[in-house]
Amino acid sequence: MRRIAVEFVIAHVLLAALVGVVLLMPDARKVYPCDAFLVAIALIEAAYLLALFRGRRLKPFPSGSSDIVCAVWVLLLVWEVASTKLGVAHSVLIPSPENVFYVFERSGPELWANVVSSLELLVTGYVLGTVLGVFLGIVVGWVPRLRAMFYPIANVLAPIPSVIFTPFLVILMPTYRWAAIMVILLGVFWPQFLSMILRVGSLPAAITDNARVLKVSNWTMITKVILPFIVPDVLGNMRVSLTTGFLMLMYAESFGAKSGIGYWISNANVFANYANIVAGVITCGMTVTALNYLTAWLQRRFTTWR
Amino acid sequence: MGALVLDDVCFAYEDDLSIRRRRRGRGAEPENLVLKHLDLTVADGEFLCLVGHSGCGKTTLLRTLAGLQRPTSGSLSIDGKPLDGPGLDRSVVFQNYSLFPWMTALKNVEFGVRQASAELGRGLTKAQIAEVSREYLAKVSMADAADLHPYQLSGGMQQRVAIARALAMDTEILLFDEPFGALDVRTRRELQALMNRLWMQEDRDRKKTAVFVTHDIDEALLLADRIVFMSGGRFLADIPVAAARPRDPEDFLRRPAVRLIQDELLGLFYDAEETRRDRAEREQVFGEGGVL
Repeated sequence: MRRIAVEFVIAHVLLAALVGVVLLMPDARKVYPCDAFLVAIALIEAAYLLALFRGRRLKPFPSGSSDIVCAVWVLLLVWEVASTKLGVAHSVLIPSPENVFYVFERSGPELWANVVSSLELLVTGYVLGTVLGVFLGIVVGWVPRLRAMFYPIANVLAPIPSVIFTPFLVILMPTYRWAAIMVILLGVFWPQFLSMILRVGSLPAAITDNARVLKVSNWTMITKVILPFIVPDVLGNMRVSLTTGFLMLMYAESFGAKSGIGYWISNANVFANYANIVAGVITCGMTVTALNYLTAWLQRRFTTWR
Repeated sequence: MGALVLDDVCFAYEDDLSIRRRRRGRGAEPENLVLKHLDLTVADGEFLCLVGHSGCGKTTLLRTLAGLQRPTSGSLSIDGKPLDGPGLDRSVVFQNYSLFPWMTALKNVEFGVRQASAELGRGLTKAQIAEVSREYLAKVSMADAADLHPYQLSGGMQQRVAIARALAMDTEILLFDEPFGALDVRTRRELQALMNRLWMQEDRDRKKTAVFVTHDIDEALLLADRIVFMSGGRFLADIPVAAARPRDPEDFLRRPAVRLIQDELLGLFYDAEETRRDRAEREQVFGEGGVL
């Protein structure tokens, strides 16, 4: 407990130093008001405390969360001092934290609308890619002849990044959004498809024997035996392919998009608005983290048997 | 009803190259037969133990009985009907993986009962299926574990649930493939006693036919009405064990007559010369068939 208490104290000393610097040290640069920045600091602190006091009792501190928060305070402190307070950092490339967080205050609804637009693309492509990959993977994996035919083909096609097909997709798909969805879909589909073929092929003979002596129909075999058997893998793959999906999304939004968080960032890039870029990156990070938590939760929820 | 008849059953693995070559040739006898011209009749209601060392073909025979593989030649029938593939007139307990790991104990039993009910046109309702399943879980003392997943159960408990499923399915024939082979001695004894108890109960209602594969001589003696010894894909001995149940291992296995069968089986395991002498002695003392 003592060691933990020390980390806890250090984190709060750093916090006090940060807030003190923000409020009391004279600015060397002209910046927006600091309230948004302070709100962000308060939110980080709240998340930290929440992680520590999960449940009603004070649990042994989750290892790392104190270290992480200390690192965050140090980073913010250095950033704040170097940009706003001393003005030694490049004034365009390294925007002040006040200005970055002010973006959320000023353009919050606009940012949110872009996040929603991005999520529409991502979720559609991601869900379609996963469903198709799992469904076709099961069928192909289960029928030996199909497996013998499609597994080698898939092995050739899967490593080709789906972005290569963008020029064709843009022409073939009715709208830009569908082209973007297809890019994400393909990026998610192949790994899931390949993994399902292998997984279904690795169904232990003992389990299939057990199903056969119970004379299960093909439908029951798929729904009651194969599907539960592969669910943990599907969810595991979903967590991994979330990153791929997001990557594809960012790429897809960098060509011809009219909205979306990737568009927001590349648009800000055009105007060299680095405060907006950093705010966009932070938004991306938060979105991915939220999605990651969601898939992790799904994985825990539906993998109860091993 | 549930009489099993094997008529000249042979089995060889299809992918064995030498067999294919031979077949293409003169239709000669394939080499590497795992089962060699087996003739056997298991009477309705009989508990038959198949004993033999590893690789003697006993599990192969059981898998053939279960319909998981077709005999290369010869035929099998149940009550005169030829056996073709798996069927719900039989239920099987495997050495392991008899349960689906993603279903709870109760769901596993229910799944078997539902399959049997649907296939045999019994038309059980959902409530009835649940009731039957719980009843049989209670019979194997697993009522408290109904909602646990197999990974939460010990090996012995898993086999209890597997036995409950096989019995709850109410099939004519029960097939056991070394169900206690992976268990420790004490758990094995407990489950043997359980089988004895269950068979006494079943005796009162309606006798079921059972084929039980094991390499444990004592286990066979405790459970069987009849023991068939297998070696190299053939039956070497066919020994009736006509004793009442329950058979208490402490007492039963020490009876002189039982010791003789034990010796004979052990001799068969070691392929010893005294085997024939043992058999002659037994038959001299107790007559052929040998009531104990």
